[in-house]
Amino acid sequence: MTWSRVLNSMTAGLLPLLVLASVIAVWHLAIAVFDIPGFIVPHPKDVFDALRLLRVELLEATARTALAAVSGLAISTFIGTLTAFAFAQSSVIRRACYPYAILFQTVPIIAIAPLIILTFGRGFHSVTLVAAVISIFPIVTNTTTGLMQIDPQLHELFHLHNAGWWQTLWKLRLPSAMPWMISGIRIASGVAVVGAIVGEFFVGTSQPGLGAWIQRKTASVDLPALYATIVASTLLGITVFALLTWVGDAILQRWFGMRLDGSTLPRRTARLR
Amino acid sequence: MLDSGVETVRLNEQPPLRLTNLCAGFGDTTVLRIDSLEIGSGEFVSIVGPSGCGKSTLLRIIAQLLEPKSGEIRIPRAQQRACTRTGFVFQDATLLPWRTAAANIRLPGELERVSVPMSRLQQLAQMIGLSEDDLQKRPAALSGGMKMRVSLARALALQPDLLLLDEPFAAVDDLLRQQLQTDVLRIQKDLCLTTVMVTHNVAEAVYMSDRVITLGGSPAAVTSTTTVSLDRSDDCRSTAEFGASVGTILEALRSHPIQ
Repeated sequence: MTWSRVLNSMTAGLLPLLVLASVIAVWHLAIAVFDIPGFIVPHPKDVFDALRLLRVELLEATARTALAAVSGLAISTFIGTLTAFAFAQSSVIRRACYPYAILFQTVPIIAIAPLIILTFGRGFHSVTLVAAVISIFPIVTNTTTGLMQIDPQLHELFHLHNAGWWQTLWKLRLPSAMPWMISGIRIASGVAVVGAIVGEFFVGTSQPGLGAWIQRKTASVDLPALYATIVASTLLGITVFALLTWVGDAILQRWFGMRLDGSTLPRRTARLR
Repeated sequence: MLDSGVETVRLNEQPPLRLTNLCAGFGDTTVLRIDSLEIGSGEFVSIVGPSGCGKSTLLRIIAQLLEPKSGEIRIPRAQQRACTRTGFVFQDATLLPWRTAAANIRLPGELERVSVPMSRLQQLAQMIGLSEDDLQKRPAALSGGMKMRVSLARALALQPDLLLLDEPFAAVDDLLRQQLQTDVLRIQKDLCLTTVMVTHNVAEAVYMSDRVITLGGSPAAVTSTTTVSLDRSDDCRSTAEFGASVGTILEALRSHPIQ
């Protein structure tokens, strides 16, 4: 009994690491068995060496990309929330504009990114814009849903007490939509990182982030460095997502007594004042 | 505040709530027709009827949440007030989950820009059976019965002229339901509050009301009025008189089914 418990708590943290170890082992074995040359697939050890060797430059590039992604996310959150308010306010606006909101979701970012750069020029601002464009859709849809699915009885209560438009917004609609908004921003965060990297891929040296690295290392067929950049990109995406999940959960727990997955908190934590 | 002393005015001197030639519906269809209905000051009236017969619609017309197609409504109010204050208890507790119980009770005051002093809040909590500790909890930390009590306290916070209950105990278990019925009845009598309750539970209607009105037919209309005079003790539910009233009302419901 106790053994299985210990095993359980250990495996919770260890299992993902075990998977990583097996992937690296298979990777290593495949290279050895099939005699794959280093210019097709680099050896794991070369990737680790590249990571260690380039860590300062990679960290700097990651920071640039992170800044662009987060700025893009801030823009899409601001514009996306305003759009959602317009959508929730009027069914005419919603019906007229929703197809174009979907456009943001369906248009391939790989085609849109060069266009944005052609229009707005090379540099940080264009990269930020690409990140904003690709990440706006989940914020718009989630916030709109949140604003529209408010308990009709609560609306009646506000109506009964002659609540004005602003009162209904501040005391009912905004707080009701908050969990949806937070979850939308969280989904958008991962996409914003991808958008920033794609943007950087096209602007090149004017914004030397991870995207520019990927482009440069592909051109020079420096595979260990390319793999190291991919590892850094992935870690950045995970970090941003985890950070926003943490912040979002903290906000919801502190002010709303609920969680992102919609469950309410156990009594102990909900008693926070 | 000048009028804070006047707020505790008793409402028994008020004229009755009166509906005349009321007609309600959507578009061309009429779902509800009330020729004449009077509810006296301090009276507890229940409206029973099958699901979908328009009893919730009637309650919302009285609350002025819905506009009738035609007809006249006269709702009495305390003299110093510009408009009627209505307390409404919904089927669910309908609390804002991010607010504590106390903040939820204060909401109507905030919306109508009337301050609800701490002493009033404590008085309400005591009357309704909420502890000091409960007041600081969020709805997620309260049981179903406690949530209903908070909802009731919220409806009473502004000393309403009229209390409207929309199947308020439908979501709680039997034992709790009886306890809430007893508590609501005591408060209603203490405050001499004109009360209209919609329910599909005939026994609940008989236990709580001075008068039970049945709705039926299509368009729905008042099909019977039963005056109930019981001593309202806990065992009154097992008396023959209670059973007879329930029987009369059930019979009226059976003879006017809705299509």
